[in-house]
Amino acid sequence: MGRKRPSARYFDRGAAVKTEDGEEKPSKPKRRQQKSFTGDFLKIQSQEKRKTLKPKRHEATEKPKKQKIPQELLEKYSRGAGVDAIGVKTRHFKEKQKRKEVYVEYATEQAARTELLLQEIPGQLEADEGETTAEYRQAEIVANVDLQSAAKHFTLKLDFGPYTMRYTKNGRHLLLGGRRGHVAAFDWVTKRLHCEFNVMETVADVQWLHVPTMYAVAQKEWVYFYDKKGIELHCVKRLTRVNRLDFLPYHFLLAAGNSAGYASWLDVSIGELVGNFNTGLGDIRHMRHNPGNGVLCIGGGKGVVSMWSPKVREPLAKLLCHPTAITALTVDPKGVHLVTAGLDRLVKVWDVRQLSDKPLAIFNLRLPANELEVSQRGMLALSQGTYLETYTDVLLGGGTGRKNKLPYLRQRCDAFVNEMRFCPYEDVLGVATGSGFQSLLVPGCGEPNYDALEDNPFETSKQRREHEVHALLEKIPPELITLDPHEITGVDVPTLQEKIDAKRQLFYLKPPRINMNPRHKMKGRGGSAKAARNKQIVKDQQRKEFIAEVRKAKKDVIANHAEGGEETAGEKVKKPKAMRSVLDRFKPQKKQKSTN
Amino acid sequence: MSDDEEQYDPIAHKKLLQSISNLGNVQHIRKSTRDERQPEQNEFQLFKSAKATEHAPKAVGVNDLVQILRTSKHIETGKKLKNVHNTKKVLQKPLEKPVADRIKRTIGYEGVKKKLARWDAVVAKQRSAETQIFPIPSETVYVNTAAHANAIKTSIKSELGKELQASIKKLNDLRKAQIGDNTDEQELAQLEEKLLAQKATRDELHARRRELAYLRMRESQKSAKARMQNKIKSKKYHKLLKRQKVLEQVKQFEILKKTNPEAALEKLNALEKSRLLERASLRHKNTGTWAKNLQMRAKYDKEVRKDLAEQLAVSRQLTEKKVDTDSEDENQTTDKIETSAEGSFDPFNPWMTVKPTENDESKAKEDDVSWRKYWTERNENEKRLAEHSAQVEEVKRKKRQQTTQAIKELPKKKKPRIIMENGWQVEEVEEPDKATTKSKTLDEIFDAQQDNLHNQINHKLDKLKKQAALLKGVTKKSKKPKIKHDALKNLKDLTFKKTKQRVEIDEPLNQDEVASKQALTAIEAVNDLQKSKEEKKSTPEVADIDPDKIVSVTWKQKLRLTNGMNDALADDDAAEFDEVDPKAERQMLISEAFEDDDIVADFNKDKQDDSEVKNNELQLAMPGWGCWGGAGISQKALERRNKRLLLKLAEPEKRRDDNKDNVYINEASNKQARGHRVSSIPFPFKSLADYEASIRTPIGRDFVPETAFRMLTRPAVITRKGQVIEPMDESELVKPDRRLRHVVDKRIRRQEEQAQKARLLLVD
Repeated sequence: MGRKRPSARYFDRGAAVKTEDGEEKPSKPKRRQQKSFTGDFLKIQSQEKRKTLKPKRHEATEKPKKQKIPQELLEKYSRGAGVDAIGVKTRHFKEKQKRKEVYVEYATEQAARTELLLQEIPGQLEADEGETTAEYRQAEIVANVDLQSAAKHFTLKLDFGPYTMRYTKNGRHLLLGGRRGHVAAFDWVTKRLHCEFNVMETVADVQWLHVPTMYAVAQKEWVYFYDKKGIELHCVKRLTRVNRLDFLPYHFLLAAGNSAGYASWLDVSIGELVGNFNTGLGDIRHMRHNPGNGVLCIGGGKGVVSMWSPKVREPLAKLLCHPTAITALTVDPKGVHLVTAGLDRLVKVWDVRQLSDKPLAIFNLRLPANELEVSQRGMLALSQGTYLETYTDVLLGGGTGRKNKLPYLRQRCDAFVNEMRFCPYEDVLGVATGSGFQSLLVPGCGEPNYDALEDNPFETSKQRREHEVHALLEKIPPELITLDPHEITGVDVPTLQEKIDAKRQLFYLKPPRINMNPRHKMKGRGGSAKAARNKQIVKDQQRKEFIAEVRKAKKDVIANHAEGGEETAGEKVKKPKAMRSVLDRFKPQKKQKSTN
Repeated sequence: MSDDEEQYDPIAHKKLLQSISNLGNVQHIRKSTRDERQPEQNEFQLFKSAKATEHAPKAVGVNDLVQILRTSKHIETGKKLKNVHNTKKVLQKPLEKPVADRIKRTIGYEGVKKKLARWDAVVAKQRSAETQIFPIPSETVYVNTAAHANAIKTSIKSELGKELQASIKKLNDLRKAQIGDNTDEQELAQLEEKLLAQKATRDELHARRRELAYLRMRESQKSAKARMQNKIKSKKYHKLLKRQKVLEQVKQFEILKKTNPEAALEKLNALEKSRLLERASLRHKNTGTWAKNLQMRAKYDKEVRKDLAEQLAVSRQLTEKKVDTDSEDENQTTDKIETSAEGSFDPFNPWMTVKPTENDESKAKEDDVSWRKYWTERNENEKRLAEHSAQVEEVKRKKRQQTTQAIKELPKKKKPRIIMENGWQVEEVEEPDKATTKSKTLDEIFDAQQDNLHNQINHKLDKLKKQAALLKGVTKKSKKPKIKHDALKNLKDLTFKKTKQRVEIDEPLNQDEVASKQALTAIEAVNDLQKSKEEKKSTPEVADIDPDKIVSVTWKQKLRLTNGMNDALADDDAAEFDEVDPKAERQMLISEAFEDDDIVADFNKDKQDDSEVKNNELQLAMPGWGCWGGAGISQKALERRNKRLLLKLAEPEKRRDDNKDNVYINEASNKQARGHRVSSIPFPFKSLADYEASIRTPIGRDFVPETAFRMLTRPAVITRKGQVIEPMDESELVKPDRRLRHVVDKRIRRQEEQAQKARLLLVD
């Protein structure tokens, strides 16, 4: 550390003041008024500052006015309508709530201002006149991009049979798993291999965990955990014959679907199975989690996508998507759209939040799609055997510019496509095929701006550790996985079945037993007879009260339900009588029945 | 001896005679004469005998003085004295101590309240303040108070003035020197100043005195009012007072009925209860003192007889009702009234289905408040009552004759106690001379006995005071027929100061709360249901977009470019796609073959099964009940009855997946998640929407910008280390608002200003 102030010199003597201790302290020069001040300090609440008579030195010194934030930006960051002050009870709380609303408004504005920092602009291929993007080949694209991007296109020829693959959440690392036991983890940007080995078993699926130093591999029998170096950390024998793996990063749950139809959730932070039950769907082959709410979507052979939460043993929702078996499904990273493909050669896009029974878009294909994937910016990739296509929009389909329904980019691979994933924060589509891995450039598919506190592709080990701790602290409990992620902000309202059960129970209620322990009284105060009598009195009183209460409640229930019946009956009776008119006598008269 | 006789001293003789005559009434204690001033009067010097006081010299009154003065030359003085005597009022007897104290306390309370109310604004501000900083920040201002600083010139003195001052000072010094006084004047001045500072200023003293005077005035006003009210003996007044109370209660009840039906019901119950209490009391029996008194006079007065009969009739009616419902509990009777008022039928009770026709008439009036029912009924039955009363009268008369005979015998026993108790009751109008003649000799005996009895009576009197207070209205009643009617009306005033006649058990109850709680929760749950139902209605529907109205986009996969350009990829596989891949074709065929037509139907069936509400019916009919007819009863009727008594508990409720063919949504959401949610809207919020809006924004660092985060998580109280926090003084009351520094504060102010401007514009 360098010294901030050089030691006092002889010519500085004048400024220094000798204290009583003999030490010299540099003294701050004071204002003339203060220097000659010898009086007392009085504490006085000053009035508003008097306005100086001097004219302001205007314009030049005035603070530059803050830029106005465009309305649409504000709306983007807005969290919805605020609290109406009328809905708050006392004046004090009204005032408090109003103040809080201002804070929220301020927060929204501040957040909107940070939009300025999102410098990166997403781009897309634009076709020239008379061309379409569909005719561009990877080679052409690579030839026309910068070196760094060109390096992101590569092909790996591997021998261990159809591959599965995963990118980490920040898109930096890649994990490959060959059916015939090959597992490889590497930093695909720098092409630095972390580890590569053969587990000497079939590998059904691979999955990164919350940090890029650990991953899970679903092997023939059990699920194994390895670290970056390929050292086996765990063998989870409770997850058997797993077909598909998925990871919920905010819940720290490793979800697994096995060939017997069991869905399991393993909390990797505590090593406990938080949910493990039979879905009754048979072999689970298609399973993705919805990033929006953490619900697990499982596609079945009957064309139904069912949604599961670890703490509920029934599906939260079921969606009949296709009249045939489902061949692929995916949920977009925002958790808005569910995309399914069936053997009926259709790809359907569903609104997963509204859960409407009609799809938002239907893609008619020539052949059924066997893999689907949606990128961060909403690009759709689908594969049919060895052939794969990408579209710029999940809903509208087509390429850029002309929306004549031609795909954005197309690619034919040398073997059938086993798995596809868009790399987060990169314009890259990773394709794992039967004979290896291909990294394709798809311009404009990735999110160009990343939040370094959320996912940092360039994170150091220290940042990674920091992030891990934070993520653990903010772990969401598994029971909060519900269809509506905002359910937690609502008020718990009993369901219809519960209401009925409660009412029903009322009719079979018994007065509770009361154990009364009378206070011990000194000799002569209360004998055992007296105590017993008092006890009986109290018991009787309690029982009577209880019975009266139950009676009343029952009566209410009956009255409530009888009301409904009466209403319907009353409506019949209430048929409005037609107004009598003078001319009624000319109408044909109804034959009156003789009273006899 | 004759010499002795000659020496007859008349004075001595007289003295002797007097002393002899005085031998009879032995009262040796004389009133003490005061010859010296004494601070205290000895109580033993005061004596009480009436006999003695008769002979005692009368005290000199003002009138005597006036008389004397009138005769002398001081006529004027006499007049003045008389004037003074006439005009000046005698001070009133002070109020009883507890009453006076109470008044004093109320006045003191008012004063303190007023004083404290000054702080209300400050307290409110502090409470609502989001952040409080202690010690309260103040801005330092430098004021030079040093001696050498230029003092502000406050007065200008001329040369002459200065000279004068100097000479005066000199003179004073000289004088002092002469006396030999060498005290330091400055020191004295300082001392005086100090003392003065300690003393209250004149203004303060004045203010204090004024305040005290005001308090005293208020106190006297209040005490006068209290005294006056206490004094009022007018029955009419009390009657009006009671009626007013009743009216007030009725009014309150009416208001409550609209605003708070639960409280109204409670009130109704209270009224009912007091009515019941009255019924239980002996108010309308003929055993009261008033009734006994009337019995005496009934012999001679026809009207009185009528009153008594009416009284009895009332009592009969009151008790009659009790007989009717003897078997039932009080609770149940009230229940019954309620239910009949509601007009609902109780399906538990098969008897209820047959509606009694007799009740029809009364039913029409049951819209009335139920506690009035008694009165309405009474009016209807008046005729019957009159008839009945005639009969009762007959019986009463006989009884009365017996009682009067008994009473005539009573005084002959001459038990003083008995005379005491019902002295007014006895028909001794003819007798009193006897009693009085004898009393002369028995005077002292009575006196002594009176003393003895005094304590006992006092003791009893206290006991009876409450009862007497209650019965006062009745006992003191004169026998106007009009008043009788009012007495009945007074029944409406149900505010008896009666002690509860309930069994009081002062033992703490160590009940097993858990057991009862479990059972009670079920009831609560049902009660909550109704609340939640209402809540649900209030919550706005979230569906902004109608999903049914969205048209799904459909498009086909195209392989070839429309403009027929050369496409390498397409060309490669043109053959495959154009002539249709045989493999793919086969796959398609298989899939089509296995395509299950019923896949949709199956799904919908499953959906229906899953979403069906279970156990939603409840059979209220009990086996054997309602078929007393025996075996021959028609099965049809039984079925009909069973159908009628089948309670459907499920209300038709719209499911989320209604009208959505291909969607099933499980509405029984998970229990664990519900554990995290609140079960009712928390305090300051009225509606669900507002509550949800209030927690819509997270306040963590990760969700809001850092600046906003810091503001949102600012501590409520900020204190500075090592600084003493002084309590607020009164200067806080007059402090101006501080300059706003906080961004949000400024923003709020700006918003308020804008709102005000807008309002002004609107007004213009």
